[in-house]
Amino acid sequence: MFGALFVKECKQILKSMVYYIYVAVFMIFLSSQLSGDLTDRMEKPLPDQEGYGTIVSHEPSAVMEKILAELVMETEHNSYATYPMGFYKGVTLNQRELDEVIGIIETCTGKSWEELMKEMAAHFSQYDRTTVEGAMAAQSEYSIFAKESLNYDAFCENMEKVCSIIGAGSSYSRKSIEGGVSVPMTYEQAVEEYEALCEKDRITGAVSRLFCDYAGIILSVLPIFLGVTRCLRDKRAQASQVVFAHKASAFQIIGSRYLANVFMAALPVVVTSFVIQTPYQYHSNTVGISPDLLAFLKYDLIWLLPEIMIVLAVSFFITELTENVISIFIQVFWAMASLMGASALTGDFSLKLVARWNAFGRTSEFWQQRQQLFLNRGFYFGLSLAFLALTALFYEKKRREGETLYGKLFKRRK
Amino acid sequence: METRIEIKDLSKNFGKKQALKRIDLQIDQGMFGLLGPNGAGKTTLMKVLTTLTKKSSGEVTLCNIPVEQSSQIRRIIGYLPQEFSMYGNMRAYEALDYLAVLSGMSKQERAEKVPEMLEKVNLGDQHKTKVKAMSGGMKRRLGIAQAIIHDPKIIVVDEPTAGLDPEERVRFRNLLCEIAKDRIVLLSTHIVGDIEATCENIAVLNQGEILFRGKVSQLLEAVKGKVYTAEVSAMELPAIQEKFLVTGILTSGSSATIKIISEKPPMKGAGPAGADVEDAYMYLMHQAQGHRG
Repeated sequence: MFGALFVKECKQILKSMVYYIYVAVFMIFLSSQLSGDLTDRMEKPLPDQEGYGTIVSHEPSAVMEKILAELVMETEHNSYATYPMGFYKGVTLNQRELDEVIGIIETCTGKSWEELMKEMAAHFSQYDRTTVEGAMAAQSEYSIFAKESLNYDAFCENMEKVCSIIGAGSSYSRKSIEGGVSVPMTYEQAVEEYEALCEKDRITGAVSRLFCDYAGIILSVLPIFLGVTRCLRDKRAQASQVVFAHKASAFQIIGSRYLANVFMAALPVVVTSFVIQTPYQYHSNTVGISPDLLAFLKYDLIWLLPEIMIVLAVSFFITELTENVISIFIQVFWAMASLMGASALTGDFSLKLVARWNAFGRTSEFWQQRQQLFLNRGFYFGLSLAFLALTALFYEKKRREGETLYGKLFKRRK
Repeated sequence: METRIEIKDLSKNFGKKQALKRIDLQIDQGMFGLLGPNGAGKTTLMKVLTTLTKKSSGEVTLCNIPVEQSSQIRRIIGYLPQEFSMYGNMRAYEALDYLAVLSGMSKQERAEKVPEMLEKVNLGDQHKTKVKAMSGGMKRRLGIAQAIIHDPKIIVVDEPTAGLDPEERVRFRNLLCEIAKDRIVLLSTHIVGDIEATCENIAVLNQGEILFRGKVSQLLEAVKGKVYTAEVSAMELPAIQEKFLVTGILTSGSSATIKIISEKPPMKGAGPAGADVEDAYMYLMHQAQGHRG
């Protein structure tokens, strides 16, 4: 029975306008984000190149330099970016608080605020800040040395004091500092990175990772609509009673609907990732690197499938519970909070719904954090099964009692 | 397995409202009619029998299976709800096939039974018609096809003829009689004509209570000798209606031929008339409400 129901559900999804909108929005989003050519980033680094990009460093001296530079820049403008609940919040300090922060900076650098301002002006005057590239280069290459007697622990304690003044979610929290800072790569590091790209990622792995980053953003929202549409379909068609009265168990009904939606939601994702991978596969062959032909599938299954599963499972659960579209609002908020709450665009997977790796390559760094990603995705895989079971249990209860939780609450309120 | 529905002391409460009050009923093989006005509790009773609503107290067994064993009950029942519909974009064949899968039928069984059932309910030629394009009568026929496709022991049909034109109604009633040969068909309706044409055994439900249970002939017996007909002036009608239970009026110019139910001859010139089920039903309802007559 389950297999026949699954096939019938898939056919029904294929007849749904919402599904074609899902596919179209997914394709448009992906093509707008991944239209550029990545092959120039796959070239072997040469010793005399102008630059080799950046790399994340956890080296205490590098971290202190960059964090202090950011603190000085934000303090100069008295405008601090914080993400207390995952959403951006600009903080402006009063004079007393500002003086306290300046005092901490002076303690950490061993220089007066005036000296620091002079050095800053001298640094930025070297760049043409009328262009985006110039402004970005000026900012990324700006650094301030901590005084020699300041050790890393003392630095972190000082930054905690800054945090207590600015508020939660700033760049100076221990968690943010532990994420490391971006520093320019050396030639040796660039070669090492290139070798990792060829050996571990085999080119296509890095392409798939970047694909997953963008696809993950849109897949935190799009499947909600498929789930809500399916769950409200019985009610809209006045078919609930007749379906309830049949022999099929709640697990068979809900399970087949859920699995069909997961399969159909994943189908365009797998096809698109394959299409995007293909030219790089050929490029790898032409430059003599053996590509990982199944990279797209591995990444889709491990990175994106659990996300599709949890988004659909939660939308099934909330919609069966309430029989309205409130799940859309709740889940869009969840997706936004996950996106805005990211302390970095690469890594820091923790338990975030949207796993980000907005970079091509950085293979060694990813390999170090891979375990964290597996835990994250494993957690959502398990959670989606739990939500599915809860949905089936609630469906059976509704089937026997003929009421939704929302209906009961509404009646009581009246 | 004995084909019987047994209901003992069944009550169903929705908060403070008691929808069913200590119902006792035994239903055997064949057509059984459940008659009552809107809001009498017929649909609630149907839902208890089809496991769609939990009873508050009492005992209900279908073919000796307690209603609490919902998965077992769902195997032996076919249900046509009051508002039957399916997904609008499905064709008749697809909709029936989908519901047959939900009934646990194999691919081979479906391939055989779906066309057969569509033919049986006269939808064979319309198997490609989408549900959203179907008339009310076509939907009900599709509904009865899905209720019988898995050959259930008990079929529960809730107000199946409401909104159908006379021809569709007659066709539908005949179909129900045809399928009731070797099973129970429980027909719930507020249309007396449906019961009169199809059922020998009936129960009358009002405000959650059984007012009558037995054969149609027994119901008619209760009103025997109490039905009169008289020719009166149209001007007198409001006063007569105020005083007596009038079950029929046929006006012709300034006069009207009326049908009255009364314990004794209601007026001079009134003569005895033949009673039908509608008269008996009306009499029963008015007795229950403590009305005149």
